[in-house]
Amino acid sequence: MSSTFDGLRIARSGVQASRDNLNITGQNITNSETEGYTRQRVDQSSLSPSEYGGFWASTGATCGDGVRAKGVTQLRDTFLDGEYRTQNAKDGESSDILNALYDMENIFTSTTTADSSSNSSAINVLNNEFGKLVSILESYTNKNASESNVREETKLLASDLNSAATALNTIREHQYSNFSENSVDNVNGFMKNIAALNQRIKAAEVAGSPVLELKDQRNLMLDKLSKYVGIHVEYTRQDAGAGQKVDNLSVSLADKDGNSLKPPFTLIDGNQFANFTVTRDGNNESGAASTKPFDITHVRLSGLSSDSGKTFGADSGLKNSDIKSGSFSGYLKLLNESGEYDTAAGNITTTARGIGFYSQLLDTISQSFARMLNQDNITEKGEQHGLLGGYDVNGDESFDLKDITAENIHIASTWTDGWLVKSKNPGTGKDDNTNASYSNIINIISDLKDKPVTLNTNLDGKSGVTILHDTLQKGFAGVATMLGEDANSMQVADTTNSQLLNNIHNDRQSVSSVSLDDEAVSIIQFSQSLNASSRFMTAVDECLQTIINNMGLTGRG
Amino acid sequence: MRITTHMMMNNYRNDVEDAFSSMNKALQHTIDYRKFERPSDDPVAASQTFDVHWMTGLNNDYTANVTDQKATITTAEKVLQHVDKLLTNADTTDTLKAVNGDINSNNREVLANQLTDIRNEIVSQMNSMYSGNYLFGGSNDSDPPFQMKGDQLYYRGINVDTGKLEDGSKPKITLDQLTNEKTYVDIGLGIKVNKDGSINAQSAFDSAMPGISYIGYGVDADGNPKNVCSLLTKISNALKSSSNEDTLSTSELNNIQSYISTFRNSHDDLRNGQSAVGQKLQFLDSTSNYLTDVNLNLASKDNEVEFLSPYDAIESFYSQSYCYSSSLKVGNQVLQQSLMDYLK
Repeated sequence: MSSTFDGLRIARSGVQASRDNLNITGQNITNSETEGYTRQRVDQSSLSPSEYGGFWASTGATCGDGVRAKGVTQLRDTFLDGEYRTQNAKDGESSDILNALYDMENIFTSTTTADSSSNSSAINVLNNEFGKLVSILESYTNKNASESNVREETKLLASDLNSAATALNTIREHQYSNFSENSVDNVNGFMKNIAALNQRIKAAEVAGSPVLELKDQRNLMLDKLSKYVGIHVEYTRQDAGAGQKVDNLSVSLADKDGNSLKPPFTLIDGNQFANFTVTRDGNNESGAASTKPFDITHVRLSGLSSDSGKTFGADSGLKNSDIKSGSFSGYLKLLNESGEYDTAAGNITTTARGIGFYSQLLDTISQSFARMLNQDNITEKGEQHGLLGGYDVNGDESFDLKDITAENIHIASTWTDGWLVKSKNPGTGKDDNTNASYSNIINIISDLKDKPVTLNTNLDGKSGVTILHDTLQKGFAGVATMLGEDANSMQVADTTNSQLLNNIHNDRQSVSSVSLDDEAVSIIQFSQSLNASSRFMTAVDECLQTIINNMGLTGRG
Repeated sequence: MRITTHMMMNNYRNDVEDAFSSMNKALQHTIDYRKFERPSDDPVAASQTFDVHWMTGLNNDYTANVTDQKATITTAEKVLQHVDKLLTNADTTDTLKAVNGDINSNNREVLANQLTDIRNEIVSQMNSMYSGNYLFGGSNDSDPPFQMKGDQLYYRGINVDTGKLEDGSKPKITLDQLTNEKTYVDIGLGIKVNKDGSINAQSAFDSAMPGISYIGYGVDADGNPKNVCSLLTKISNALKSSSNEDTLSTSELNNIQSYISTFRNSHDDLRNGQSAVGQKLQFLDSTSNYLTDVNLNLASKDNEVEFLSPYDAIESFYSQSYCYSSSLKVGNQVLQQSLMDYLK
């Protein structure tokens, strides 16, 4: 037999549970558009009779004690979270590289504005200027241009090479500053904040509160972190004392597939976090002097430290090659890798064509150009009149090919009228000129148009990797088309990555985001349930009223 | 799969943005009809476009060269026609044909002077210029090729009869070599340079017209000079130096007739030279026609590789903008509804 006030207790638990459910439904609805919000559900279970199995327990038609709302849980799939973060890292990498490639493309191509008679035309800057040089040489052979016209046009082409090299350097500086300042600061900030959140969440869980909102914040930050570096998130059950267990979050660096590296590089562990630093110098990763014409960027990771963060542990031993994914990986490829220029002869290229590839390609083209013109401009006595030169380490003009780069190529200071050798025909006697013969110029024109050159990563033209074996004109035109092809294939990769990311995002949302229809039905459901519990309470109250006030009062009229 | 409001909003937003950006791109195409704004949009089309631009540039260079050469050589042709006329004038019934035994000393004087005048005019014609450059100097176009020193004619400082310089020494190049002098111009025949640095004759246009190949040089089998000016000088001197008052002696007459016979041979040589110049002009004409055709082909190729047909561009724009408008209309309906709208 049940106790007198049992019913009320059951009713009260029902009303409370319904009220809790309605509140959670309201919470879901109001947060349906909050970024990173995961829908919540009340965890409820029915209560068994209180003296169940005890010595004085009642038997027969015993009844449970109503409903109990044990807690609130989130509906979230951690597997999908992991997938999202892995894909986010890939997306971050490809979109960073793509933007840099677009910036580089703008250096080499432009579009004329359309006039009324013709459509606008795509201009390949280097190809165009090269064509103009050949034109002016042709006009020169036809006596429609002077030697100073030829000199000015050569100067223009050299200065196009200079500007392109300078612009590539500017892009390099821009990327480095994005990397070493903005990105690294963001990542370090995220790691510190996540560690702080870890501490608060753990403390709250020990106290018994589920802090789901803080967990959402933490997940959001982990998502943002994953764009920069590939991460692997792990939850381990830890003993919090007094038989309680709480989750400890640790984050380590992951490879392309989201698996932690071995040995692991820990970024966050509970309330401890590490710190990234980015520097650059003239050494490669092993510490030996680098042979590249640009500084090498190094990423380093410190050991873990707790929240004061002022002193970090010793170097974790992270090397550039351990960063496999994320926009950090994109930056390292752009800044440190040079594709074919990193490859030994006969080997397959395994590195990406970063900024270094294009700046070194421009150097190779400049050297080929200077070599061709200088070799052709030889007087009948066999003296070379160098037309294009660079500067040596002392800042003096030099015609040595190893001193010529795209940045310093310029027309020789000795090039005044008469320096250009028109022909090697001797006259009939000392007073006879051969002004009308341009046989040497025709030779130069023919070489510029048709002579095959080998653009090879090594200055000698053969002991490195051959990038192009074709005419010099194809070399000049080829920079823009190579960039176009690289950008095009990166575009395809980036679009694919974004699509995949969106798909995973949808999958996640399918599990964790709020559906207003769903919540509307819940409102109906729980308010009906509340009505029903209240009705039941009223019924019990009436019963009790009858029992207490009206039972055993017969005959009192 | 459970679809939530948030997912629908998100996907809808992404899809509308995609539709808008496709429409924008199609709009861009209708403005400039270009297949690509930058090489990464269409690397294959870009690479072909740059090739076409390069070849168009070269073709324009060749066309300019041909036009200039045609003008120069047409002028030279006219000069040679004039010289031809002068030589013909020298051989009429009033002049050389009038030389026979009966010609008296007065007439001889007049005839000699006439011949000298004709000779001087020939020299002056052969020193004609076009556009500031001498036409018949071979590879020297900045100094007058022919000079009379006394009654000796020099070409490029070399005596046309003896082949020696004025001081009697040997020149660095002989007259024979000078007639073969070449000044090449690139007109798109595919320049080939031989191993010794000289240019393959078939691969470029030779614009050189050394004057001595037209008016002759050196001596013939009889020891007579072959140059028409030298011959006129010789004939004129022979007429003036005769001792007889009324007639020429037989030996004097024979001498003069021998010169006249060589003169007529040299006149024939000039005519051969003229037809060679005529052939050069014909060649330039046919090259010019060919280059015009190539230009047209390149223009049409550029159209093909760089530009879209207006029909394609406009049709694409309309279908994209239709997609965009319909996605906007549909969105209006899809996004509003939820169960919330139906609850009291």
